[in-house]
Amino acid sequence: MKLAITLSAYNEEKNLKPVLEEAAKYGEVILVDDGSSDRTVQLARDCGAKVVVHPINLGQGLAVLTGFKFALKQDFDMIVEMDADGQHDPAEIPLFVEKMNRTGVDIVVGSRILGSNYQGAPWARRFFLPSLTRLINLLTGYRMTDSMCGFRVFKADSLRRVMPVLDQMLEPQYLAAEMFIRFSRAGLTVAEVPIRLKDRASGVSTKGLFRYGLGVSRSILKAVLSKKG
Amino acid sequence: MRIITVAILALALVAASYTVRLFIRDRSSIRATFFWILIWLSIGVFAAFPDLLDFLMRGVMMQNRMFFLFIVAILILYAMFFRQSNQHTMMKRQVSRLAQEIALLRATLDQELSRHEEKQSKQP
Repeated sequence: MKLAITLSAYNEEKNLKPVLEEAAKYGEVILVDDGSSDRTVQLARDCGAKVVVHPINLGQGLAVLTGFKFALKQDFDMIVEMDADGQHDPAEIPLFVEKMNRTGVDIVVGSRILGSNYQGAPWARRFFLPSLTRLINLLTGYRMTDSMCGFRVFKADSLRRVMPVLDQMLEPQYLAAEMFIRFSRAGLTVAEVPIRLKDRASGVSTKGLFRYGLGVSRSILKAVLSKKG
Repeated sequence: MRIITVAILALALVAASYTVRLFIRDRSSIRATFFWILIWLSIGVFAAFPDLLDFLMRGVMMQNRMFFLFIVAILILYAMFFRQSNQHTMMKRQVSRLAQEIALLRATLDQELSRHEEKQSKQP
């Protein structure tokens, strides 16, 4: 089973190395650098990852899509998407693969809510995450507990089938919500595995919760109104 | 003819010729050139024949000439802003796609090159 592990990074030189080294144990690592100004690209190359470099900063959503496109050009069976900031543990990848093989679903999503350390999460996350997920479940018919988690595994063939539609996304910077709406329209199936969320080793996330929530809501609205895929 | 009328006519003429010059120097599209020439022409015509403005004003049941001009100007600006913001969104999307394509092509090329180098080094 050939596994591609795609990570998108923007100025992550402080967090990247251990993630790449750990991820390389489970498959071929593809790093999409989203126009970093630090040594992210050099570090990734030194760690043996295949690197795709955006000439300018395009946002995390497009970086994820670039990773998918690059991986789909090659002969992989599954494509893993995870964060490069060290919050996702590559050691949990086998859990996703095992779930996919056992259930035969097209996508396996990590759930922070089902994970054992979720109670310690900030209140804002504990409020917004289930609310947005409930809304997405309502629109898609899926039964997820955490639709916003960026740790996911896709069957390459299923992803290839929906890629033309994903490429037309209206708000690619807020990928998750719109992606699930498109997936449900394409008839793809989803399962979840519990994951533990680790703290970032260094730096702070660039996503403001309010702005992010607003962006996600906008992308949901656009996806619902859009007739394409 | 009043001085203000002459001044407005002169301004419209200078602006129109400047617009044409920009087009000749390939710094303006034909569409934008037509639009601006039409604007300058309208300003010139209304300055020369203010009764025409009154006629149009009465047509939309307005009584104040200044108020009418402001409304027309604001409507034109709104239409322009709407068009520009749509164009901006489309261009932003196209630039993103282009940047993505460049990144993918470069990565594929790098991959092919390293494969080729590997092959070369294996040959005796």
